[in-house]
Amino acid sequence: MKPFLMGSETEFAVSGSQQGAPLSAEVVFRRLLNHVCQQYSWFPDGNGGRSVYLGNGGRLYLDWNGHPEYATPECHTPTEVACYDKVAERLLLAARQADPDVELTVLKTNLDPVHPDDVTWGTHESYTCWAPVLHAASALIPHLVSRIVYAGAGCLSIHPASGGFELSQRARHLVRAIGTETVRDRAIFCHRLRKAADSGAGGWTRLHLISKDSQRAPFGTYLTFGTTGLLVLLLNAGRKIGAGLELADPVRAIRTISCDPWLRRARVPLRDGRRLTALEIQSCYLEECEREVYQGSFPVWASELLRHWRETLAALTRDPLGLADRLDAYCKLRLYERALRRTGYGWNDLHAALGDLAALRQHYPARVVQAVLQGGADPMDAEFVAQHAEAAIVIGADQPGGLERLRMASRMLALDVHYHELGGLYDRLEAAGQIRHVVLTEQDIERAIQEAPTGGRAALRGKWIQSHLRHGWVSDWRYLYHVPTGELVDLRDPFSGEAKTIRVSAPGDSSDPEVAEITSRWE
Amino acid sequence: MEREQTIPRTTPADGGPEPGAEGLEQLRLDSAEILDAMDRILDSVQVVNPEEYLQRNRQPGGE
Repeated sequence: MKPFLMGSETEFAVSGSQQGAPLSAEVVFRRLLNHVCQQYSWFPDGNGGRSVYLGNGGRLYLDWNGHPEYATPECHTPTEVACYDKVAERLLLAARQADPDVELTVLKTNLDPVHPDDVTWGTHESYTCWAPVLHAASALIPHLVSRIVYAGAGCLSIHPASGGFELSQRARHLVRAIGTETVRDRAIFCHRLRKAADSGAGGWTRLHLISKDSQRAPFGTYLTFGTTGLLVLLLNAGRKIGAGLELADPVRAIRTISCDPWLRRARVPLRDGRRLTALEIQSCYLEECEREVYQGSFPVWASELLRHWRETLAALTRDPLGLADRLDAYCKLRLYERALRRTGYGWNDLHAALGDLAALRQHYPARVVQAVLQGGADPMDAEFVAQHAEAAIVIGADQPGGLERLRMASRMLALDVHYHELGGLYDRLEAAGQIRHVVLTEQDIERAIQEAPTGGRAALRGKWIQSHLRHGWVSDWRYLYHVPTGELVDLRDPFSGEAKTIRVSAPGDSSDPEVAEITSRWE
Repeated sequence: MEREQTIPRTTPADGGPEPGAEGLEQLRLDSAEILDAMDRILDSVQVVNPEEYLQRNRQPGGE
């Protein structure tokens, strides 16, 4: 078995205010980071920026667009990925609550609350791939499309086919089957190779997939990484997977499946002319994996993963709401059904009202939308008064029940955002015993806040950061470097748990060009 | 080879995401305990001004 690692990077949307004055996302990040750095051991990022490597081997940093991002350490099992993914939530939640004078909101979501079709945040997956990348693409794309039945975080939707709810937040932002872009023209299978750390000796590359939703329920994270990781392991072992499952139009297929949250009607066309459901495609992959895993030598976690995968597909076949206690999309479906019933509305009402609200936002400023929803109570200048009157008529807010219907849609949207807020709806459900972690314990998470996974360079990085607290150390994924003494720990082999320490007599003084370059730059 | 889905399953209240038969609510909402818990949670998360909450959390996105 070839060495194998996986991990995730998750972007968080943040906002905040202090004594009523809004704080910029960067200020919010700085407050969150300061608290984390006060609580835990860390090294600054040698490459600069607002970025630290933590004693658990992970990284917390300010991403390019001014939001926090957390990368898990390099993990060996899907349980570890789910655990370290949950660690990010715990770190940021504790930091958010640290200062009672400041009100901070941290969202683990993929969609902007107001313009979900235009603005998105990502959760990226990494897997060690020893197979040719384009071969992996054709083998994996039907899986990446159909896995949203358990990998989707779910969301309210105005899409005409959705009936008001979709399985996947990211589906609408994926516009091609294969590509390298992450900010626009996003692909179901992204094969971007950008940095030295994205490939290595022996021919491995880091598969860097961007199609996943940001999940709150850890069982969904576990299944997503477990199934995808196992398929990559099979490819790494030279097995053929996904043969005969090529989709006629993967982009259309993922949107079709996303718009069928009850998993009853969506069949997507294959290149060979057949039309299969997402569950049928997943079952084909599962059967392939079961055949191979039981015959070959695969990691211990593979057997347990296969059991959970099989049980999940069977449960989804019976009734998706049977998994409302462990998968985000169905948890939301059950809760939103209840919320609708309590107010006497149905999904058709909500779907129509969401469309009206979206149209209102598209054509009028936020202030006018607010005024319509509040019944026009706010004093406004003449232009806004005219716009408000027009908007109220266009949208039917002046009709009996029209305004209440719009308000209901706004409340439901707020509920959908609140689900993703750290300390919000999901956490309340969990505290009330409505969520089962299944594969994780609280002790696992507590330990992972402090410690790195066992084995590989993450363990080295984590231990080094925890035990070398003296000033002057910096880090990135591939090196630890003590600037004052020139001591350098080479972590370029991600699979090795053996520390290779060298001493650089002066910055740039090395026959290894990369070592020379980084010691010069990190001086 | 295609398999047809034959196991009866639950459907949402009024059509919506998946139009379907009425009267299967009890299959889907599987216990009074869960409903009570959901009601308590929904009661506890009433957002005073949902539109303001949504607007406040607008950001430029990432990646």
